[in-house]
Amino acid sequence: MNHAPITILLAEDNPGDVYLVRLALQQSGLHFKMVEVSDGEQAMQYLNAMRDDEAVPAPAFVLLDLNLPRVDGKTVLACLKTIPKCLGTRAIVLTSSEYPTDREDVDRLGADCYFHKPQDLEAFLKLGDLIVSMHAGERAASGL
Amino acid sequence: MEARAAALVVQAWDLLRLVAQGAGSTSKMPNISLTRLSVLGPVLLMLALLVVCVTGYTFLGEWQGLQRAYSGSIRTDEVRDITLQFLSVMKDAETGQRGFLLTGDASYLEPFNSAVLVIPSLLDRIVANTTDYPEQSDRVQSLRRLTKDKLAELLQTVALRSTKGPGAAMAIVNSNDGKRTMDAIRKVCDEIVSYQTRTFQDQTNSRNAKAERLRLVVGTGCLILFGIILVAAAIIRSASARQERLSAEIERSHGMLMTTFISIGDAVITTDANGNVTFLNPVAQALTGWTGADAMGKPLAVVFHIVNEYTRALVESPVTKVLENGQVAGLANHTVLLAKDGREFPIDDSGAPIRDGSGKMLGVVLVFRDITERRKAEDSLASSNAKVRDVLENITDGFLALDEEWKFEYANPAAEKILGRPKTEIVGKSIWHDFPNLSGADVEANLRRVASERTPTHFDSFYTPLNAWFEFHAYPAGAKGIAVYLNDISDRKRNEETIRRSEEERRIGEERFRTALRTISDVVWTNNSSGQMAGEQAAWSGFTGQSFDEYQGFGWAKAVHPEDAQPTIDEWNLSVAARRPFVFEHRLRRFDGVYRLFSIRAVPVRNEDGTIREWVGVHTDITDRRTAEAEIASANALLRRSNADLEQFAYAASHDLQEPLRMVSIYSQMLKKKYEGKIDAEADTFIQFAVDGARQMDLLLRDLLAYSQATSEAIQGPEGGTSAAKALQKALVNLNAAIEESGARITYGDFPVVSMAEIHLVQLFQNLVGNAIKYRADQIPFIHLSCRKEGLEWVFAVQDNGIGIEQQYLKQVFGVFKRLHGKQYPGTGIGLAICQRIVDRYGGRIWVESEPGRGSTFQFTMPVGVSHL
Repeated sequence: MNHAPITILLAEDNPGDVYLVRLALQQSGLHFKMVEVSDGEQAMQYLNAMRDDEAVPAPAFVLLDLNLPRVDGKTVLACLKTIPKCLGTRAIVLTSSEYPTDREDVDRLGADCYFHKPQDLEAFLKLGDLIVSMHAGERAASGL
Repeated sequence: MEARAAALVVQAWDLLRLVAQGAGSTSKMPNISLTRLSVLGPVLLMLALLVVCVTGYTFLGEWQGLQRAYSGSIRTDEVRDITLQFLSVMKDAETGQRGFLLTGDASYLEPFNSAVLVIPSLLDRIVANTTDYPEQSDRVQSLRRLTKDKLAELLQTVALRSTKGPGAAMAIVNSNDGKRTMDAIRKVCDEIVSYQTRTFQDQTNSRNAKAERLRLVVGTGCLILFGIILVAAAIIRSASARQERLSAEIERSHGMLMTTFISIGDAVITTDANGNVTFLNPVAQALTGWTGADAMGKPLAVVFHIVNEYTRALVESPVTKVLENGQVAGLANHTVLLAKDGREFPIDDSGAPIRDGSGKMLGVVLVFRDITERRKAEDSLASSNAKVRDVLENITDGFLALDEEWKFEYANPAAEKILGRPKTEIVGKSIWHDFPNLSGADVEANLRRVASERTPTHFDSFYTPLNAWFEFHAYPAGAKGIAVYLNDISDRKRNEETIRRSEEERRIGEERFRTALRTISDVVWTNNSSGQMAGEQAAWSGFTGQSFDEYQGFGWAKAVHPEDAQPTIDEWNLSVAARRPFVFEHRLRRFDGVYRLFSIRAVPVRNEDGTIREWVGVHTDITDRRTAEAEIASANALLRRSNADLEQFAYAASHDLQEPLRMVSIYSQMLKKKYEGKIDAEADTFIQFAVDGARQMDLLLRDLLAYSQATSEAIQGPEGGTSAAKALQKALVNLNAAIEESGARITYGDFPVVSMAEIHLVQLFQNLVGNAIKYRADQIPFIHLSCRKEGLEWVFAVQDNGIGIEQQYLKQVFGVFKRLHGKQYPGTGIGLAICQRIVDRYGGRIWVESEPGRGSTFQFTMPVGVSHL
């Protein structure tokens, strides 16, 4: 726990899922600071503000529900990919969608991971382990 | 008859002989006859030879004269040439002498010497060549003398010049003796030359005259010969043409004669004057049994072997009689010809002599015929009268003869039976008196008419006493009587009644049929073989209201809707031309002007020989049916649309329901995780119900989703098809947890590439294998998957050793939400419904065979895609 906490942006309108994500991350032992927004518009605002303010670091992970109110997750994802300082940011799409086209769309937009929200609690909580392993891989790649 | 035939043959024979003799006297042709040619030929030949001899002799004589004249003229020419040469040499000698004398130069002596040497020989040749000319001998003698003198003078002077000098020599010269001598020589030579020239001229003239004569002789001879040849050629040509005509005539006459002999129905044999056979015509060959070649030259008695029909004694051949007395002779009656092969023919014959022009008998011609048939006819005629009586006595039909007063003359036994009285009783009695039943009825009327009008008649009449029908045939007989022939036709009458009844039945049947045709809504019609409507068309008229005049021919097309008329006629003509059934649809105007849609079917009706007798067609009104079909189609479309909407709804619903269900599911698990065992046992149970309910709900929604997806996906698989093996692998991956948990052993054979979406095949395998694992018995599940090709289908089979399905549930298992088991086998009851639905959509079938306790085999078929055969 010597490292500075990593920033994780969570865009999710379902409080039940927000709670579960938070629980999963807490159980994973990751040192993190989570920014929570409940719709796409807020997510865009946060991203734009971060882009313009040097002091605000780029989030290490962006967890995006696809089916967000106001501005949908795909638009947010596209926006993220235009911000240079977010080059290292991992984008994880959280979805309950079964539509194959959604999967294709997010792959094309450059999502790093596609997490299908499971019906099972234990399975959901594995999201924490997934993020830890992705983070570890990122650190190894950057030589830290 | 035979005598006439024989005379005919003799006439033909005479004609032939006349023709063969050349018949010069009767010839009307203006040509030189053959006899005259035979005289003229040698005369012409002698004449030609004479001309050749005279001409040749004359020619030879003239030719020799000419030859002589020619050689003589050559010598004459030679004398002249030598004489001139001699004179020239003499001059050379003199010139040489002069030169030497004047100059003393010895070179002048060279020509001199050579001339002196030649002169004597030249002189000798002149002498030799002039021996034929006596007129020249004096001149030649004179020349010889003068030459001698001159040579002496020349030699003397030359010698003097050499020895005594020019003076002495010149002295001699000056004496002029030499010059005189020389002049004399010149003169003589000129005389000789001029004589020869004259002679040559004479000879030439005489030769030309000779040559002219020669030409004349040869020319005349040739002309004469040419003339003779022309005459001869003309004679030969005309003679040969006549010869040809005669040959052709002989040929034709002979041919005619032979044809006559061969064609006539009578047998013909000719003999020579000795009675030996020279010719048999085909009929004679057939009757005697002898071939022409075998019979040739044989004595007639051998070939023409005749005996008396009854005595069997040899009958003398008519030929012998003819040869003896030279008269035409005939055979006695009852002569039988014994053929070579033993057959016998009764014959009639006659013989006649064949004579040449001078009346000399050349032979005999024998004409005879087989009279078997005539004999038979005679025999039968003889017996026919007896037979007629026999027949009349024995026939079962009655026969009566009545005289002019209607009295019986004759009644045969059958008539006796019919009339019920013997002949002896009724003969001589009047028919009307004895048989009052006949009197006054139609019988009397008819018979009286025959008697008065003398014309036959026939009629049927019922005879009450016998309760029978009789057919009467009545003929006028003799001068005033009549003959009546009557037979019992009661049976026939009964048959006729039967026929009439069946005819009536047939008519009723036809009427019934026609009524049926009128009653049914179909319009039945007939067209003639050429496809035109003809005759009465009740149904057609009834529907369209067209009259015969309106529909006949192609008039029916006017009742067809204007837009359909031409296409109908075109198609109809095609069918008629091709003689194939006509199938069509068109709108037809009803009598009230309303168009109705009809389906038409017409077929050709053939005669026994295969030709088309007529066309029979049926118009079926399909207006209502078509309307109903359209309604069904639109209802179907509506149903399809609503089905699609429903599927879409089911998909959306099951999908969207999953989201809230996930919350329930996860948070009830959360409750369980956090508070299980911490509140009380009852709370634990409630929480467990909530967890289980949520899980069951989740399963249901997933299956519903899959079920709706089973139809929403494209029916045709991806380009190139889907590998069934790959789909199975995916299904097995999805089932990994269950397989591991159950320890199932799964084996499979070779799988093909099929034309279906991979997701569907995966669902099929996953459901079937999943079920096989789920419904396992208390043993390790063994599951085998296989695929075989049957016809145009792939048959996939999934075989297990599970609990099996009872017989009565084998069909039920494929229904939606149909479950056979309780909680011990968790499930939604949709899995097999999904399989059924997928297989249906691809045109396949799915079924299960099972034995409870032994296992089940689920099988489904999939059409073999065209591209993956």
